Amino acid sequence: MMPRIILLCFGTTVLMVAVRRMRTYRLKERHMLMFILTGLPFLALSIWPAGLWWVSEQLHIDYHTISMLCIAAFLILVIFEMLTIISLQDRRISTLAQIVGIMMEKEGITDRPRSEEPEEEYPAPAAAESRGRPA
Amino acid sequence: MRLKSTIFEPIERRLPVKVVLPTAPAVAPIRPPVFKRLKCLIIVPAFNESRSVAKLVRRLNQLLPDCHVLVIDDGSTDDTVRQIPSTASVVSLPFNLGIGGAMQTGYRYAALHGYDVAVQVDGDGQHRPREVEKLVETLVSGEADLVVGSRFMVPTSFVPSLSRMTGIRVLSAWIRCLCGLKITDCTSGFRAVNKKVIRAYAHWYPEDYPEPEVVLLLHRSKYKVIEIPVRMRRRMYGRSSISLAHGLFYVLKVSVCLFLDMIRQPWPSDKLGLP
Repeated sequence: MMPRIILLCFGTTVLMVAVRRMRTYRLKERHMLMFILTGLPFLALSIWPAGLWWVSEQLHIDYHTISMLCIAAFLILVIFEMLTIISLQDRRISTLAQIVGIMMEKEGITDRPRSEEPEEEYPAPAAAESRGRPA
Repeated sequence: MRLKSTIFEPIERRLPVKVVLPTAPAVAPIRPPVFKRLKCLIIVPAFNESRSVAKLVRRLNQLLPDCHVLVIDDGSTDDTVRQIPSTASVVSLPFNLGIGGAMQTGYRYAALHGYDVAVQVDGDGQHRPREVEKLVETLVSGEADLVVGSRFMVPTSFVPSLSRMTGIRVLSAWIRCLCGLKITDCTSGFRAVNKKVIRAYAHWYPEDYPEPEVVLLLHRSKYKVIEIPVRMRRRMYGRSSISLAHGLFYVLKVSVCLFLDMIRQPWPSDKLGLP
């Protein structure tokens, strides 16, 4: 009975924390799915403690191996989700940096000295300004 | 003490009589009609290239007065930005994005300002501004959407190291094996693209190993890719970002990425139209 209570408490706590975080907008819905995936197996095991034994018998795999596979699968899922989020954020940061760079060029906000030209090695062409220059 | 101060004086002041020091030879600008009809942008990615970028930009301005030069300063930690002549535009990125991110900035800029042609010329001075005309003329003839300048199509004085050459050959063979495209210099950064590809690149561009990857991806997306022979020189200053030790690892990583590119579709035809 005791293990079932512990599992029930743990699963319920994880779900409650996830829902609370989502309600206060500190956790996005899609990231909350990870916590649901964590909490639900514990709730399921508290209701049906022999679940893992049943799976083990159906697949003809040792109970301990099944437990380890479940934990490994969960960890892989979490890492996969995390890396997806990081990649997405990385892409967004790059895009933002590119747009900031282009905007700074448009507004003329650069570290480059406009008045003090470095020493000319070749004479600058007179027609360089005429074509292809954006307004 | 006096001697020390004399040493640091400019050489013209120290000479007893006024002499004319040798200067760079005057070069006639290239003004074929093709550059008059088109809006052409030359994108120069530069990361800590303060010693070569100014010379390169002046050379480009002098030889190709009808093209607009845009330098992408990829978060340089030296004074690269301050060395760029005012005849060129500068996009200064707030931090280093790598060659892929820097080049995509240039293509975004080109797409935003409606350029017809974009040419990539590396800031290290390896690419000869004179060869830009050849790339652009091949591009506007309609033969291709991407023209790559190859160092290895005809024998030239430029001979890369054995390890680098082997790496390039392995990657070229891998691309040929994966998609059937015969290319001799898949890592060349000297390339020109038309408006369709500018639009595609502005939408998505690989960040890590862009040169070999885009060749494969464009070919798979039915864009026309061709190579033409060009002459290149050794970089003016500094060292390449890929050392001998990293070469093998680089080839391995790019090979895996190229394999994964076979299942990617970065430029959806419903968004960008058919090539």
